[in-house]
This record gives sequence, structure tokens and C-alpha cells, in this order.
Amino acid sequence: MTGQVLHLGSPRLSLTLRYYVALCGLLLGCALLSLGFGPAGWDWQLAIAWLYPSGFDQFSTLQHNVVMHIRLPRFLLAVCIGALLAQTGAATQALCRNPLADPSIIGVSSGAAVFAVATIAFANRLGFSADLWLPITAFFGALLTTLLVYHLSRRGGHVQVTTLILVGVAVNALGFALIGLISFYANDGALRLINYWTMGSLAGASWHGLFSALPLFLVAIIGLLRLREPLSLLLLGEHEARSLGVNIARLKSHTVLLVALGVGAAVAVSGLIGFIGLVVPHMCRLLVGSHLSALMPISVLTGAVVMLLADWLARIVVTPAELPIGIITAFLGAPLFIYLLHRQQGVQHA
Amino acid sequence: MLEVCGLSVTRHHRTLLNNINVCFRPGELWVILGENGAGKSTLLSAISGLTPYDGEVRFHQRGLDRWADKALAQQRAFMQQQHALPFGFSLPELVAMGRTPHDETADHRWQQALHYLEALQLLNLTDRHTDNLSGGELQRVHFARCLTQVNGLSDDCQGRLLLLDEPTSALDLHHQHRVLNHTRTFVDKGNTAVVILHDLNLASCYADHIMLLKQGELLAMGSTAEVLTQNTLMDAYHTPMHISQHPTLNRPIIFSEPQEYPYAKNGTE
Repeated sequence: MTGQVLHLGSPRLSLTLRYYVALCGLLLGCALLSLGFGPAGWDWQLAIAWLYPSGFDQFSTLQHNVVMHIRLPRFLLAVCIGALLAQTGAATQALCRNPLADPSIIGVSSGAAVFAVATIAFANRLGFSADLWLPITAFFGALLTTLLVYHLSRRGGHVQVTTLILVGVAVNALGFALIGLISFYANDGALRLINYWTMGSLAGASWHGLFSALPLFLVAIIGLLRLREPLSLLLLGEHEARSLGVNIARLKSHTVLLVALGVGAAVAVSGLIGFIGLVVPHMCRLLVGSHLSALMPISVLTGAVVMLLADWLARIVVTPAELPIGIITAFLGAPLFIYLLHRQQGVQHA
Repeated sequence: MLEVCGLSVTRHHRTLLNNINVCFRPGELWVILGENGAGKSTLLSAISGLTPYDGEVRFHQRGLDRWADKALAQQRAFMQQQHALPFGFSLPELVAMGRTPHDETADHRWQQALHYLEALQLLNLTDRHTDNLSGGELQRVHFARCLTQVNGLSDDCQGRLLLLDEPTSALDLHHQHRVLNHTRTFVDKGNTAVVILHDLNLASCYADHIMLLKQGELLAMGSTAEVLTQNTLMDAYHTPMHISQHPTLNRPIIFSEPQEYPYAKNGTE
């Protein structure tokens, strides 16, 4: 028996390593696709031209500018947003101890959106810069909604599944009503921006936008990664986590702050992109299990890959025009989520 | 050593525990008995430091409220009555979580988890997930997690505290004895265990000391022979009892009598 114990080792760890390698490969593939693909077709040489000094010699200045000022920031933004949304999804699910919790479903994203839309609509009239204030107002919107939803759905120390989803439905409805109301008072320019932006898009990516949001992205991603162990213990229950030495009050407030920061920053830069935070952790859970030490890093990579693929689809479906990416993620995410849910229930009842 | 002085717990203007005084020493296995709602679980979670209380609880001469969460978690484990887990874990994963308060490598945690899974005859289930386990199997996994938390692989751990809230409620006879045997071994190394049980005979077989609670008050406290008497037990459980002697152990054995319905109706159950 002892021999068997030694032999068993930790099988999940080595398996996880294989997933890392596969995902890094996929990420590289997606990078080639995302950078090299355009209305004129796919050119892999264009995708890697920025890597070496004489890379753009055989290409026109236009192509050089397209890659350097449009595709490259867009690629990096997709990676960041995908990683961030997947990460906040995994953290929210741990916080609520509920696999259906996702910032876009429980209303956090639309809370951020209300504040962001208000900023877009009224910032110029009130004489301050919308670009500058968007991440900040979106963060406060996300924070307020997270606290609201979390406290409304808690009964006797537990977050009830049905209450959480229903509160999410109500908050989403209220959020979209407020966005509608604000749109009513917005001028034409702001209206177009709001409309485009509520469906989510990475088309507005720029180096300036990327660099201004990057610190927030990094703080949220790294901060949540550092909480992966106590958050895993929280999955056992609040009392269990406390008896294992977790400071629950601090863990919760840090998680709520970081999720709000991440969602706020993501919404401010790319608008409402749903389902990534729901579907990616679900997919990863089927691969590496529920422990966040394995799940969170895998989710970061998978989120980036899924976001790049969705963005690529958004660019090719109606070429030369472009679909909002939120539509793509919803079309991909909703059926996949139903399938995953169905399959999981099948496993549970087997 | 865990000293409890004048411990009271009040919730919503209701007194759940009133003035409990007791000292749990190393090398002692304590069993808490009492009817439903007597305050057993309240007492256990108060002395674990997880719920607020009035009075004083000192663990190793230091008030519980003055312990850091992590330092306390290295010294005491608390197995609570279980509810379903929302996510499935593999068994080694779940048991290895017990070692998180200790700063150890993932590999070392994993080895200890496998050791305790083997000790509780769960090694053949390691490819299963917690959502595919029976209630009894899951209870054994949680017991393994708590034992791993305070025990680890080293044999020199002393002065640790294991609090178990009905650890055998879902187990078959064999595993009831197995779990309590492991608790006994842990205690004999110089540690303390406080266990809530409902099976009086199981309590009689394993306890060094018994606390009997009734409506938040201490009804009786002492060795098995002192507490497990006919009058005390009938007072606590409102059920006719007969006390005999275990044929091989020098311990009392309790037989209860089936009751007429009106009797039960007048009692608490």
C-alpha cells in the first residue's frame, strides 16, 4: 500500500503542465492569426514583421501602420481583457460559492456600464475628459453593484443560487433601463458611441488606451491570482475557511475590490463583453478541477485565447465591416454554457 | 491545553450556553453529549474561536481572541457538520487543503493527504470527485482533512486540538470505530480532542471524559462511569435507560427502551 502511495504522486500537477504548454501554443497561433489577418487575407510574414528591425521592408507604410498602431494594441488588449474577464469570473464564482456567478450575469458589468455611459454622455457637457474618467467611474459603478448584489443575495450567511441570479436579472434590467434613460438625453455623437459600446468591442484599441488601463488590469489579475489559495478554501464554506486560518472579512473585501477594479477597467476600455467570465472557468474546471491554484492560471491563458478567437470571428464574419465582439461571445457562450451545465448535471446524477 | 471559564453564548436575546467552566488537557479525549438543541455545536464553535462568546477561553494560556488566524489554524482543526460542496474536488486536493495554514510545498501537502487517505481507507477512491461520493465517504474525507491539518506526517506534534462535530453521524460501524481510533491515537500523542456524539455506547468506549449538556447548562461532567448513569441519562434524554457492563471493556453499556408515544410527546423529541 505504501508503495502505491509513493507511486501516486500528484497526477493533476503534471496534467496541468501539459495544458499550460498546449495553451501557450494556442496563444501563439492566435497571435499569428490576430496580427496577420486583415481584409486582404492572412499573411503570416506580416504577423511577425514587428519582431525584427527590417521586418517591414517588404511591406507598405500603410501595412506597417496598421500592424503597429491598430492590430498590435488590439491583440494585447484582447489578451488582457480575456484574461481579466476569465479571472474575475473565477473569483466571483468562488466568492459566491456558485458556479453560475459571473460579473456579466449578476449585473456587475451593467452597473459599471451605467456609470461609464453616464460619463460618455455628460462628461463633455460638464467640462471634463471622458477618456480620463471612464475607468474610474466604471470602477465605482462595478464596486457599488458588486456590494449591492452580494448583500441582497445573502441569506443567513450564504449566497443563495436562485436569489443571486434573480438579483442579477433585476440589476441588469435596472442597469439597461438607466442606460436607455441616459441615451435619451445624450447627443448624437455620444449616442453612437454608447450604442456601439454597450455591445462590446475591441475596435477602439490604441496604445494610449492600453497603457492607461494596463496598471488596473495588472493589479486586478495579479491581485486575484495571489488570492487563489484562500479563495479555494472559501469554496469549502465560510466557517471551514476560517478554521483553516483565512481572514474572511479581509479576503472578501479584497476580492470585491479587485473584481470591481477588473470589471470596471474592462468595461471602460471595451464595453460590455459577456459570458467570458462564465464559460472560461467552466471549461477550465472540466480540465483541471475546481481548485483555484490550478484553475486561475489556466483561466487566464484560456480567457486570452477565447477572446482572441472571438475577436478574430468578429472581424471576419461580415468583412469588411466588423461585428461587436459582445455579440460573438454571447452566441458562442450561451449555448456552450447550456451544454456545460447539462453535462455537469448529467455527471452529478449519474 | 484549553481552559474555558464562565463561557456563555447569547443569540437574539436567547441564552444558548450558560456559564460553562471546563479544562481540556493534553492526552484527553472528551465527548460532549446532550439532546438536540442542548448547545453542543454552539460550545464547539465557541471554543474553536469561530463564533463570538462571553467569558474567557484560553488556548495555551493565551485568550482565543489574541491568536492570529493562521497560528491558531496550525494548532487546532474543527470538523463541522457537513453540507454539500458547490464544486467537486479530487480527494487528495480536498485533504491537502488541510495543510494550507502550514507553509509547505505543494508536493509535501500532497504526500500527507495521500497518507491520511490511506489511513481512512479512501485511497481506492482517489480518482473520484467529491460530488460523486456518498455522505459517509465525504465525511471520512473531511475527517482526513482535519486530522491532516493538525497532525501532518510528523509524530512529535503535541498540544494540538481537534474539534469534531458529529464525525460519525453518516458512517457505518466499521468506520465509526476507525475514525474514533484515529482520534484516540492522535490524543495519545499528547493532544486533545473534543467530540460531539449521539451514540452513547460509542462515547462510552472511547471517551476519557464526558460532558453532558441540557438546555445550554452543564448537566454532568466527569469520567464515563460518573456521567453515564441511569438517573443522569434519563434526566438528559427523557428516555428509559438501563446500564450494564461491556463484556470485554471496563465500560458502561447503555440500553434504551422503546417508548410509548405519549411519553415521547412530553419529552423534547
